[in-house]
Formats: sequence, structure tokens, C-alpha cells
Amino acid sequence: MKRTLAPTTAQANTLFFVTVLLTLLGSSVFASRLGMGTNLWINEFVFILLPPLLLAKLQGWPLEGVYKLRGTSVKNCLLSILAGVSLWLTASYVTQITRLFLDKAFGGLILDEAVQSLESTPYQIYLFLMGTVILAPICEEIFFRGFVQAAYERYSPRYGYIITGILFGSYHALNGISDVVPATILGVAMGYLAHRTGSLAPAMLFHAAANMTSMFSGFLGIFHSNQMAGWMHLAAPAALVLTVFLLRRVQGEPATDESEPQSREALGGILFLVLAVLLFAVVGVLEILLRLGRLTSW
Amino acid sequence: MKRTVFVILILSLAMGIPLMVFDFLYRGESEFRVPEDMEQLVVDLDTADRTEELLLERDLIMPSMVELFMQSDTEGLKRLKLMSEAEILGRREPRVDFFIQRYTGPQAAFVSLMLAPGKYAIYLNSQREAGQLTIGYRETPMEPAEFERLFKIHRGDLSNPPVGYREVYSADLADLDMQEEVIYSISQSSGQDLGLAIYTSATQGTVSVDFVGSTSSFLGLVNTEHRICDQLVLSLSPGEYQVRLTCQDADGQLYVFLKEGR
Repeated sequence: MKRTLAPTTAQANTLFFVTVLLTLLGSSVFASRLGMGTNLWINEFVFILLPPLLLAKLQGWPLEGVYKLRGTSVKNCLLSILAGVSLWLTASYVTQITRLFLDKAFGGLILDEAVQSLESTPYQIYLFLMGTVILAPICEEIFFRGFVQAAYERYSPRYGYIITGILFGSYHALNGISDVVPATILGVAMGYLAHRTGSLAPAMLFHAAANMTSMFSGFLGIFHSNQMAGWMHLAAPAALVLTVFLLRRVQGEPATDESEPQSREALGGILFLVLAVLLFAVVGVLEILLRLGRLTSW
Repeated sequence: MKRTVFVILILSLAMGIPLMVFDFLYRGESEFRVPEDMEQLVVDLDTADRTEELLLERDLIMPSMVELFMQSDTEGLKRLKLMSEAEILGRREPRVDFFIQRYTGPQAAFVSLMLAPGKYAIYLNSQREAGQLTIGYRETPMEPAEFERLFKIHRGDLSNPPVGYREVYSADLADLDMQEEVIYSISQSSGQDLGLAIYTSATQGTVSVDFVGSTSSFLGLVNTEHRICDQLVLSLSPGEYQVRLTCQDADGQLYVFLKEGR
């Protein structure tokens, strides 16, 4: 294997496609047999965390430098948590808007027997909670903001976190079309945090805060009706403004990775990026067919 | 930071792996979850191929609600056939077929049938496979007046709602051509129970009544094969819910009754 000093876009795109494919195939096998919680753990540990760690090991990359696994200030951490909670509100608003649009245009997504049968045991619920609030923020941040963003930052930091945010959002198409745009918004914000602080810690805390708020809202039954509460039209933009304010307060500690070449190179692994897009398109079409009642399950 | 991250991951694994093991054991213990108050019949599917093998024969001396709960730990398709001497309310014929695949743990096929007095029997068609089929059954005598009401509906006099239910929709299905059209909407502002009673006398064409909401949906509550859905009580989260009708080339009538609150 050719050794590089930092992730290349060819490596990022290839691993991204492989991860998407494995997540999709793995979930179709494990979710119904082992439960949603265990499936989430397998996804996070095996399909998302393991590939970039193995690659770093093979390439001899220092995780602190290349994947930004280094600390930051307490102030940055606190601001990131607040921003995570705040931007979650905006993201949820977008999710709800998208879902209502899809419901109206293509019909509601009705869970059939097969999906409903994924009913959880208490252990699965604990595993799902831990997976969502602890594992996903760590594993996904190492993969996306650590590995993929490092590859795309070769072009420009802004390019890096925007492209990574879009890939992160696209990855969430596996959860449903309505998750793509909100996850992209959250992904861009987390990418910005990683770039600005030179550390994954704020992005991980932001991610954990957003996921935890999402869990709480689920328990409280917020955003689970098919009507948009009036106050959301004001709260969502206000939360976005607050998030921007909080993110601007984050203290800049740009990455000082001397091993990063910062050289522009041809975008590699395009084929895998195209394949990933095709895979998302297929998933999207399946969801539309399910909404239209042409499919009973997938 | 790197050390902290790996410590968190290792601690998570230290907690998560036992949870997965407990979950696996829990699932193993409770592979079949037939309700305790049901009689249970276990069939070892590994002994032979079965064709119309009689599994159970019962004689009802009173009109009864017969509930069946079926699970299996094998993938192959098993066909169970219930045959009744007497009429099954809401059914066109005195027989019902069930197709059972792998249903374990929280997954099960469940059905409740209103049977007039007489004998009924359950037959099995299955391929030889390593595993079991479990059938839970419960017979609950019905109030004579209640049976009488439902028997009238079964015979086509649909305007016989349960006490406390009000009519929200009725139609002659002949000449109706509808595809999942909303025939009634309800807005639940706070979590409360909703009772549904839906009856049809359709015997041909396509008829399906669905109850669709953002958090719960129940599809095919009645159709030409299953014509009575009586007093289905739903605990609903706040939100909008719709009763939708699909109807093509059908005959007969449809009545929808509803009861809000407890």
C-alpha cells in the first residue's frame, strides 16, 4: 500500500463508500436478528470507527495530528455543547418540514409488521441510548471530521468541512430522506468546530449534545405529530442565530499538523463517490416507493 | 484527548458487551412468549412433513371469542387452517388460513375470532424443519346480547354500533371508486383512548379501511374477508389521524363508528 502523510480524497471516498455499503448490508442482516441497539454498536465500532483506525495504523499516521484527537479549552467544549442543543432545534425543524412535505407529496411512511417487529428488549434500549449519545459522536466524528475532512481539507479548510458535512448528511439517508438536510447542517457545524479548534473534542460534544436532546425530545413526544407547532417557526431561526453566535465565540486553535502537506491533488476515488451517490439514490427511491405504497417493506 | 477517547470506548465496550450477552440470553429464554393465560400447544416441526394434520379440535358450547397466538422459530412457511362447523362472525367462510414464518420474541401472529357454538379445528401444513411451532389459544364466552348484536352485523344489518359509539361515516360501496381517500379525520390534542368499530358487508371487489396517523397506523382493519372490526381501542399520542377508504368494484355497505375517551 502506498503510504501518504495524511488521508487522500481517494482513500476518503473509497472508505466512505465501503462504510455506507457495509452499514446498509450489515443493518439489513443484524437489525432484525440482534436488535436495533446491537446493530448500532456494530455499525459504529466495526463499520465506522475501525476502517479509519486501521488505515491510520497501516499508514503510520499520528491520531492526534491527522485525526485531530487532541484537547481544547473548557470554554470551547461548553460553547460546543450549547451550540449542539441549539442547532438541534433548527435541524429538527428542517426534518419536520421535509417529513411533512414528503408525507403530502408521496404519502406517509407507514411502518409495516416487519419494521414494527424490531421491538426492543430493555437491554436493546440501553444499548441504543449509549450508542446514540456516546458511540456515534466519537466514532462518526473520527470517521467524518477526523478522517474524511482531513482528506478534503487539502483543497481548502472551508471546502473540507462543507464537503464532509454533505457526505455526513448523505450518509443519514440510510435513516430516511428527511434526515439528509438536517444532518448536513449539523455536519457542517461540527466540521467548522473541528477546523476552528483543531480538535475533535468540540465536535464530539456538539454531536453528543444534539443526539441527547433528540433522545429527550423523543421521550417527551416533541416533533412526533404530523403538525408543526406554531412556535417552531420562530424558535428554529432564533436557534440558528444563537448557534452562529455561539460558534463565533469558539476560540480558534487552528490545526498545526506539520505532517499535513496541504498540497492540492486531483480528486481521487470519484468512482466510489458516484457509487455512494447511486446507493443513496436507490435508498431514496425505495423510501418513495414505500411511501407510495408500491412496496410493503425493504 | 486520544487516551480519553479510547478509555471511553473501552468503558463503553465493558458495559455494552454484557448488555448484548444479557439481551441474547433474554431473547433465548423468551423465544416463545405465549401469554400465560392461554392454553399452549407445541409442535415439533422436525419429525415429519405435514399435510392437513389435525392439531387441535375443540367444541364450543357457547358463542365465544377465540384468540390465537402463533409463533415459530423456523424460517419456512407454515400454513395453519382453522375450520369451524358454525359461522365465524365477520368472515365469509367458516375457515381462516394463517401463514406463519419465523416469529419469535415480540413477534407473533395474533388473531381473534368470534365463533358461534359448534366444533372448530386447526390443521397444519408444514415442511420438516428443525424447530417448533407454538400455538396459544384462549376461548372467552361472549355475552349473548353482544353476540346477538354482532350476529346481526354479520348478517348484514350494519347499523348496530356498540354502546357509546357514534356513526362518523356510512356509505353504499357499489359504484364507489376510492383509493386511500380520507373519509374521516380526527385531531387528538392530548393522549387519550379512541374506540373504533368498522363494519362492512362487502363480499366482492376491493375494500380496505385503514387508520393512519403519524405515530400509529393500522392497515386493512376490514376487507371483504374480514368484515367486522369491533371496538378496537387505541391509545393514541397527540396528533392528526385519518380513516382512509380504498374501494373498487365492491358491493355492500360500510359503517364507521367511533368513541372518544374512556
